[in-house]
Amino acid sequence: MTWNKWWFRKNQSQRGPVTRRAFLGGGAAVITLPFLESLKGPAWASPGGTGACPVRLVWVYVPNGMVMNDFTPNATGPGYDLPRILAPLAPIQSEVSVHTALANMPASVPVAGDHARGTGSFLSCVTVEHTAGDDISNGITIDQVVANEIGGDNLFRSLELGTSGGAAVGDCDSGYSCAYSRNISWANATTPMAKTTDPALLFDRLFEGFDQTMTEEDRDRRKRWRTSVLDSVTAEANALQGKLSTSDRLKVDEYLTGIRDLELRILNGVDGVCIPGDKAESPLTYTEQITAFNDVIAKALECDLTRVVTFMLENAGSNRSFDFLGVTGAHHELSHHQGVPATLESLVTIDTFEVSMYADLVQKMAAITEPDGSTLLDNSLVAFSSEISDGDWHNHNDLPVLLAGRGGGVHAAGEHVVHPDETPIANLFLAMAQAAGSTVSQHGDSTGVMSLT
Amino acid sequence: MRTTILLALVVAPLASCSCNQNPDEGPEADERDAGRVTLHRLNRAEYDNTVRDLLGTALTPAQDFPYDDSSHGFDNLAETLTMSPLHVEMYERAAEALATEALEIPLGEPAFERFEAEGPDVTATVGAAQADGWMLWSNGDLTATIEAPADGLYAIRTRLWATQAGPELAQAAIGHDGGTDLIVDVAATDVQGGETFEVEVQLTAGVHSIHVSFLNDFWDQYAGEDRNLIVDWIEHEGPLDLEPGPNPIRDRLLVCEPSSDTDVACARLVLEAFAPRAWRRPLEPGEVDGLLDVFDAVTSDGGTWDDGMRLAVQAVLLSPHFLFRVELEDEPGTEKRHDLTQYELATRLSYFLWSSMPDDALFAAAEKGELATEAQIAAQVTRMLADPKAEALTENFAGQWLYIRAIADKQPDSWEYPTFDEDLRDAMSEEMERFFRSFIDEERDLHELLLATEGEVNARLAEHYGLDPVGDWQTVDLEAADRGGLLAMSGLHLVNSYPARTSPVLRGKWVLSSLLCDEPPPPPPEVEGLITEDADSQTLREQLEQHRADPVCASCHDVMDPIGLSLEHFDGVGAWRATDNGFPVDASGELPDGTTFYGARELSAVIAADARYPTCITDKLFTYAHGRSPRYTDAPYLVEIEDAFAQGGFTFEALAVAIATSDTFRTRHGEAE
Repeated sequence: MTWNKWWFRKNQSQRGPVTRRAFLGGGAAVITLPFLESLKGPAWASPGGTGACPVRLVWVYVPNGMVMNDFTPNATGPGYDLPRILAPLAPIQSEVSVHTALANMPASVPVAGDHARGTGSFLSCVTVEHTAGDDISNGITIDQVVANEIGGDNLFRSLELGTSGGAAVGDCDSGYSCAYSRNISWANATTPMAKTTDPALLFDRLFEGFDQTMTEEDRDRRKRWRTSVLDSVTAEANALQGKLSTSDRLKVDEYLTGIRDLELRILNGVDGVCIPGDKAESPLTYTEQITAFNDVIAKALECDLTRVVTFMLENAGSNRSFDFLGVTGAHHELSHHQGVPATLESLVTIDTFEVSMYADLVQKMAAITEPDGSTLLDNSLVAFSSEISDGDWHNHNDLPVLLAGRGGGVHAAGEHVVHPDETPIANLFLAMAQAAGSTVSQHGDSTGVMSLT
Repeated sequence: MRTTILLALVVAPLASCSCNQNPDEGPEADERDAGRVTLHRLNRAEYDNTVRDLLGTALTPAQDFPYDDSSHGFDNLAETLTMSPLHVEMYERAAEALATEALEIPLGEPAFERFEAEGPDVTATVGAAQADGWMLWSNGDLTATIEAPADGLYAIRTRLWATQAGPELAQAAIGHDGGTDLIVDVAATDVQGGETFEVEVQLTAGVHSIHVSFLNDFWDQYAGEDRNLIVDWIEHEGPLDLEPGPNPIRDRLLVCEPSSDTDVACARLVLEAFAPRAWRRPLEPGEVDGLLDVFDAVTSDGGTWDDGMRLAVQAVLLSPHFLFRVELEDEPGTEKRHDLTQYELATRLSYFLWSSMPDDALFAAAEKGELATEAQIAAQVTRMLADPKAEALTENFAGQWLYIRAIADKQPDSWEYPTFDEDLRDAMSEEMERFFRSFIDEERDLHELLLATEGEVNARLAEHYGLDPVGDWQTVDLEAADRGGLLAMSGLHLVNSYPARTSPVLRGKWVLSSLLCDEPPPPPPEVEGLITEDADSQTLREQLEQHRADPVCASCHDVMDPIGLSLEHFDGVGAWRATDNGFPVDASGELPDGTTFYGARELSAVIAADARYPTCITDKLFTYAHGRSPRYTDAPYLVEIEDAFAQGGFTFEALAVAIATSDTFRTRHGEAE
């Protein structure tokens, strides 16, 4: 038996059901960093972010709003005070800004369904069609605008992640399709970008196939073989188009878009030097699931496997139980707090937990050093918000918004910025998009590009 | 009475068109619009069932696919089954895994065990443990006991080094069962340089010992020279000469044995047999050539025949013809109605009743044109319902209609309901599944779904319901325990509760929307969620009464709340309770029309007597069967289907036959451009 065969067997034998985290181990698989290859040499070292590293964007979504009184700092500017919910930001406060008074007014429509609508509109900043299914309509979301422009050289144009796939049965919210409730990323008006909900599966999507026993020749051949399959099915799909009616053709269009994406991924496939971390093995608690996702997100960004990530901590109006925090009741139900102090306390506990999970990701990104000496966080912008502001009011103004990272130098992190009332959050998204190299200048209800310095 | 549908019939034309048709006459049957279903991608359940039946695999790749969005209560509606890039990525992964499994020639996994020499599982006659191994400081043996799983050739390996002294290198013997198989000189002098030695030996199945021995101890106490042998580990692996195992998937796929790596003729035969089953129709001329192009591309690029076939199978499974249930138009640009092909109809039947592809008998019927008459179709439905694959109706139709699937997702508050455990969760699902299945297996009137007085329970459920202890799933009389019928099942109460309390509103809404298809509209935006049903100071009933004092709320809650309140004897996990939060439970209900009832059994009788109940079941199964929601143009068909359902004694089979033989199920039309 070859050493490699033996090594894999030994490795697998350690991965029993008892071990929650199995280690792929240092030096196991190594994968590429496309941008690193081009950044060797003396010009490379300049701490603090030089614009030499690509800028990466992350959006973190939480459902049911926040208790804004315990979220919004009193002081503005640098060194702002940390209300209870923001306490988990303390170790990295200098890297996180709070943006107050931003709004997503296209989601504000006088009919029920604010959770689904606010979530569908979260990154599209347009009003979604009020329908339970057959004719869903949204706009392209900002992450996809950016991914289309700058993500083409990465293994994944973008990653869509979440902790929950969705309820097994029933409707979602007041006559709004579950597609709105479950997806913050949309490729176009009718195609939500489905998300991966298992961190172990995400790990495999990113890192499997990097078999170090494979020679370069083997890898190239595998690429050619896979491509020949795609050629075959593309031809079939094209032939099929001519025999179909309009609405059927749209389905095949979605399919062909996916095939083209896959083809790019195969061609962009990699062979460089990035060492995957640990793979989280099921079963995971909710907290473990999120932190495991945070690990893989940070690694995917570090390795430049993608530059755009959206991550949903649960879906719109989630009724998750947080009994592991000592909270009785369900999240959405509690969010209709009616000002009852005990209920607000429970909500603050949940909200603080959610911010701590965001802080975990930000800290992980801050701990990663880029080849030029800056940190991954220096070259990223990590946004945090919810589909509504207050759980009782369901309002879409005064949104809870955090923004971490310096975006390669465009963001003066560590401040509390109070914007004019109802400033479109789309303005912030445009600033993020442009920091990442997008040329987009208008999105949803935007009125301009926000200055982040 | 068919309130909902007739209402839709009347309202929709008024709202949408200026038809000049005489409403009294209605269109002739062959001019009616029997609807169309958009190109339907396989959903998760359909994908896994299909590859199971196509290949015989036990893999369930769709478990990794994104969740399918549902609308109108079901996750198999063609319009809602979108395809994102993540889907395509997962389809390719699945196709690769399935094709690899199908083609592989399995070799049994040899047993392997390594013993660290300093570890607890070895014995040594001399020496001592050290950090990186065991030092044999004079001649002696280090032995481990192994179990050989089968007769065969085994490798014994050991990693050694030595402290050298004297004129010769350290010498070691490797052997088994006390005998020596190999004698080696050990030149390595430290742990990094340790050398691995291997010998292959024939062993019979059973217990053996393997050992390494130090043969030439040397010690010159005056010169201070000492020769010792250090053992890092000793291991065995085997049998190494395993015969290739059988692969029934491969045997079924390969209708011929390839004679060489470039045997295109055999590749063609295999694909000509496989692709039509995968695509659920005969191949068009030239289609197999496209697949052979893949085979050629691989075999002319260093691949073996197996490699070429593996990639061709991948191409079949990634094809739009596999992933979508394709139905072609006679004239794509027109709305002219036409019959489905026999294969398309076979496919509709199999995905309706089995959530899977047609079997050989259904393909054969399609090939012979024997899905042409109502009697032929009805015979197939009867046959298919008797097949174990009809379990898909319980999992997917009832699983969603009756919310059984949601039982797995619910997280009841562990402080409020300390007796809830996973055994109870499983029993709740199984109770509902067994109950629904009896309507498919037996000719039962679906009113029994509400009115049954007997049911199957297991020990855990009997305990939960306060019944006499039973063994494994026994039919018992439930009436005495105020149970019996769907509305007394704990799974239903669990899924229509919040984690820490019941919700009469959710329960009332469920009964109205799922059993009577009378979905209450969402509350106006200002009031959504304003009621917290906080039972600390008042009973829930009192709170809800206050709430209904507002006429805006009353319009819907006057119906929802009494239904839900009549189920208040069941707590958030469906256990019986006489009091709630210290207040005695009052499970009485009165509807706006004056109908009164107390508790689940009387409520069940009221719902079962409602003419909307069979109409609603018809509506639900129609939606599920077609993968589309009913439109106003379907109203005449729904009336016909419900009539046949009633004439057939309200059995599931009668309803399934009526749907499968309807023009809505057997025809389609294109769309004007």
